[in-house]
Amino acid sequence: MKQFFFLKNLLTVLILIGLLIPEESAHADQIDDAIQILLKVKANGEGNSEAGKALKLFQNADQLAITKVLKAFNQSNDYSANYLLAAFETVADNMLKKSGKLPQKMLEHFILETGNMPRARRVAYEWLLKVDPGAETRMIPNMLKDPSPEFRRDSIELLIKQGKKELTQDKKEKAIATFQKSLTGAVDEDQISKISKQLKKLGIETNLQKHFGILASWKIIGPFENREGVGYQAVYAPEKEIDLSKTYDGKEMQVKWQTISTEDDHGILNIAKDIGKYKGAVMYAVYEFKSSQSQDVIIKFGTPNAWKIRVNDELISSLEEYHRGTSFDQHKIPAKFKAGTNRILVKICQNEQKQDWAQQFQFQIRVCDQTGTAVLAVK
Amino acid sequence: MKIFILIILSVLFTITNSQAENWLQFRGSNSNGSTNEIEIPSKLKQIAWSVKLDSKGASGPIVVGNKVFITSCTGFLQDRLHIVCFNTESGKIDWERQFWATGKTGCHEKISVATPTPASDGERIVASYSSNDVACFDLEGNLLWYRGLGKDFPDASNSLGMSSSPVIVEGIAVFQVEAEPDAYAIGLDMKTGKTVWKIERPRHANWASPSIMRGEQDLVILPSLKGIAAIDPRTGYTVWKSLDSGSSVTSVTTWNNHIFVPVDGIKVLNVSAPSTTPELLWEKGNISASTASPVVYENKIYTINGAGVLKSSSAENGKINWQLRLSGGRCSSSPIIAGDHLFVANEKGTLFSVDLSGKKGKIVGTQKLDEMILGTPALSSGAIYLRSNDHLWKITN
Repeated sequence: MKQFFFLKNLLTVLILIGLLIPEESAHADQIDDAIQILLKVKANGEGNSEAGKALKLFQNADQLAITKVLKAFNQSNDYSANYLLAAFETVADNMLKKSGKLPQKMLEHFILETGNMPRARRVAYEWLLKVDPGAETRMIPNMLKDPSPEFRRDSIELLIKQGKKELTQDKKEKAIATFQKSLTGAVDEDQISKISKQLKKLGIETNLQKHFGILASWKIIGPFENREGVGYQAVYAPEKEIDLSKTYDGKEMQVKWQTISTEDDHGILNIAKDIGKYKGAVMYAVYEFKSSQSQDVIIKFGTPNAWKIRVNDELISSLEEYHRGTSFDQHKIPAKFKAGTNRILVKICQNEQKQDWAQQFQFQIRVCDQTGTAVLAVK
Repeated sequence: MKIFILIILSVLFTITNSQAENWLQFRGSNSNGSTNEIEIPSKLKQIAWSVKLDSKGASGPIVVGNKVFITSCTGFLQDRLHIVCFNTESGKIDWERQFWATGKTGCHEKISVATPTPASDGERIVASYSSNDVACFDLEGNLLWYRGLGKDFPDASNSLGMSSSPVIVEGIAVFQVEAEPDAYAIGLDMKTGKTVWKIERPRHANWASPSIMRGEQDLVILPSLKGIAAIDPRTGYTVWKSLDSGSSVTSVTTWNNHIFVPVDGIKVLNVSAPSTTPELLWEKGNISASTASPVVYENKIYTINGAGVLKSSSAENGKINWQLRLSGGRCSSSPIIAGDHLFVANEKGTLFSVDLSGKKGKIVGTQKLDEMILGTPALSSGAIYLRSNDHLWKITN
C-alpha cells in the first residue's frame, strides 16, 4: 500500500509539472477543418469515425472555437448538431474551469440574433447564465415572440407570474392585459390552458380552437375492413380518388362521405362516439385547407390508433401503432403547403383489441408554423 | 506534452480504479443483479450524501471507479438528453454533457425519456434514451461518438416510451429496440459507434432488457412476448430460440447455465451448451415476478410480485422457502443481491436491505427516501447508489 501511495504522489507531481508547460491552442484553420468534418456527419453513423477524431481538437481550443462552432450550427443537420454541441460544451467547460470566464458579449450577441439556430441559442444562453445570472432579467422579458420555444416559455412564465401578482394587488384590468399579452406568444398546450383558465376566471373567454389552429370539421367515410390489421396496408377507394358524392363498398355496408366536427377545445374528433364503435375498421377523413401562400408547416397530430397522413396525395407520415396512449401534439409532421387549396387525407385504423383501454377511435389535428404558432386557413 | 500527461493520467486512473468496485450496467456487471464481489452497506445506516438533480430520469446509476453516472432529460418535450458524472466520494458533479433528441420523446408520465440505464466497458460510457438516441463518452466527458437511431429508424418507437437498457459484451453494445411498427436489435462497436450487426425482431412493444449469459462463449439473451432468443453478440447471429411466450416488461435472469424467464410465473431453461437449444427444467405459476426482474443467489430465486411480496424459492425446483411483505407495495426497481443481502427500493421510496443468510429473510435495514424510485440501484465499495427524478443518493453503513 505504501508503494501505491508513493507511486500515486510521484505521478501527481509529474502531472503538475506537465500542466505548467503551456499548451498551444488550436489554430483558426484547424478549427475550420474540424468543424467541416463535424458537419459531414449524417444518418446511420456516416462520418462518425472522422468526427470522433476531429472532436479531440476542441479539448485544447479557446474562445475562437466557440465563435466558430456557434456559427456552424446554422449549417448543421440533426446528427451533426450533436457533434457541434459536444464541441461547444467541451470548450466552454474547459474555459470556465480554467479561468471562470466565458466570452459573454459574443454569447449574448449570438443569442439575440434570432436568425441563429433556436436550440443553439438556448444552450449559449444557459452557459451565459453561469457567468452572467443577470442575463435572465435582461433578455427573457423581450422574448415573448422568439423563434425558440424555450425562450418563449420562459417569457410567458414571467408574464403569468406578473399577472397573478397583479391579481393579488387587486389590479384586475392590468392582470387581464398581462394574461392576454402572454397568450399572444403561447404555443404550448400547457401554458395556453393555464392562461385561458386565468382569463376565464376574469370573465374573458378564449377561442382555444382558433388559438391552437385546430382543424375542426372534416368529411369522413368508412368503415373499411381492418380485421387482423389488413386495412393498414390495403388501398381503399379514398386513397385512389376523392369524390365526396360517391358511395363505396365498405366493411359492412355501402359507405358514403359524411361530416364530422368537434367543438372540443383540443379538437378531438371522436369517431367511436360520433360515427360508430367500429372494431377492425379503417376510416378516411379529408380536409381542404386553403393556404394564403406557399409555406412550410408542421402538422401536429394525436391519436391512439394506427394512421397515415397524405397532403396533396403525397404520404407524409404514418405509424402502425395501436393504443399506446395519445396526447396533444403527439406527432409533429413537417409538410409543405402550396398557395390555395391543400387536401389533407387522414387514414385512421382501429384494431380488434377488447380491453377497456383499447376502445378509443379518435384523432386531433392542428397546423402550425415552425415556432408552434397556429397557421389558420383563409376563407 | 499532452500525450505524456494522458499516459500518466491513464496509469494513475488504472491504479485508482482498481481499488474501487464497478457496477457497469443495468443489474450489475453481469446484468443478473447478483454478485459476491462487492462490499455492501448491509444496514443502510446513513445517507453519505444526496444531490438535488435539476433534470429527471427513471434510469439507474452505474459506477466506474470513483465516478457514478446517471442519465436524465430536461425541456418541456424532454428532448434535451443529459449524462452526468459525479464523484463517488463527494457527490460533486465531475462533468455533465447534453445532446438533443432526434427521435420521438413522448412517453408515459410515470417514466421519462431517460429511462434506459447507461452501460460501461470500464473505459467508456454509452447512454441511450427512450428516443433511441445513443451517445458514447470517455470517462472524462469527451464525446466519442453519437448515433441517432431514433431518426435512422423512426418507426421503432412506442408512444408510451422505450425503456430497454443496453448490455456490453466483447466490445459490442447490444440494444433491443422493439415496438409494433418496427423492431430490431443492434450491435454497435463501443470504440467507433459503427453498426456491427442489426437483426429484425418480433414486432411487439417491448420494455424488457437484454441479459448476458456468461460461458465459454458469452451469449446475449433477448426477451420478448414471443419467447426468448440467444444471440452471438459479435455477429448478431441467432444461436437458438426457446419458448413461444415471454414478458415484454420483466427481464430474464441468467445464473450459471440456467435462464429464469418471468412468464406465467417462472420458467427455467437449462443451457447445456451455448449452441444447443435449452431444455425446460421446471416451471411454476405461483412465483411470479411483476415489473421487478427476478434475481438468483446461492441456489435460490427471489421474486417480487405486484403487491411487494418478496418470495424465496429453490432455484432447483421452484419450491417456495419463505415470503416477506415489503411494506409500501409495488417495486418497479429490480432487486440486487450481494454479500447475503438483497436490496430493493419500492415506488414509494423506501430502500430495504433483507438478510438472506437465515432460514427466513429478515429486513435488517431501511432508508425512507420518500420519492418515487423506479431505477435499479448500483452497489460499489460498501455503498449503494440510487436515484429518483429529483435526487441521487449514496447510502452507506
